[in-house]
Amino acid sequence: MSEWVLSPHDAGARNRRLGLGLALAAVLYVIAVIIFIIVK
Amino acid sequence: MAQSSTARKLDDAPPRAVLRRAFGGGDPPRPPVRPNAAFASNAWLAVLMFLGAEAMFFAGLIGAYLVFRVGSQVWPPPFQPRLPTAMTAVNTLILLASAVTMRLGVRANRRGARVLLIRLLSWTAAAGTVFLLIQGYEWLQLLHFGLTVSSSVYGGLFYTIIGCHAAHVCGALIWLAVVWSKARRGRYTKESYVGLQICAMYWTFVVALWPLLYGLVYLY
Repeated sequence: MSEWVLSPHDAGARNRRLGLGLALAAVLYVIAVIIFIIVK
Repeated sequence: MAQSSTARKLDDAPPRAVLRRAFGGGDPPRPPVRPNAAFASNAWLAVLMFLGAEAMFFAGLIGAYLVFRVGSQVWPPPFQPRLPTAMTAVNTLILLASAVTMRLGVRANRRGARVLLIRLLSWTAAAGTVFLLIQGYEWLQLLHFGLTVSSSVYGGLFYTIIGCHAAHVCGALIWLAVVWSKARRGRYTKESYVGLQICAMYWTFVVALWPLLYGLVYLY
């Protein structure tokens, strides 16, 4: 059975990637909302 | 009979063929196929630009939140109260319902159903008010449990982001009250309803922003 343990460095890098992904998703979501407002 | 100086000048003007040879011009410009009709009203365009500015404002707040959130190992920080996710989820549904009633109101106005429009606007305003009241109650509880603006970065970010959104909902409610009053006086017709339309745009934006903030601040 394999055990996955992240070092603090890996955890930090994963957190940063997640934050960047969320920021990108937030920007895309707001753009989608504005397009919806324009179209409707 | 003596001619005026202008009339004399017109008579003395060289013929068109001479002018064309001299300046190399072609035929006079043809009239446009259809008049240059505006594709949108000025108010619509202004609100759209305003929404763009608002989007950038909230992007700054969300960016600041993410920087602190991603940079910390433990979130929320120790000894800080947890946010009420379940109650806010219900509140989110109430606010989303208000966007639906707003859109239905605009649609009712397009059909000329004024009474239905007024009723739907009232429902929208009621939902917005309930949202703010629940949020106010939530804030009182959190303050009671020790989450203040100065208690931690967590508290500061929470009150700044959620407070800014609440202020926007409050402003949208005031705008909605004006639109509701005008609708009661029959200011909006099937053909002319720009005031209602731009208010609905702003309301939709403010409502649509909330699930994003809820997901980031309460759930992430």
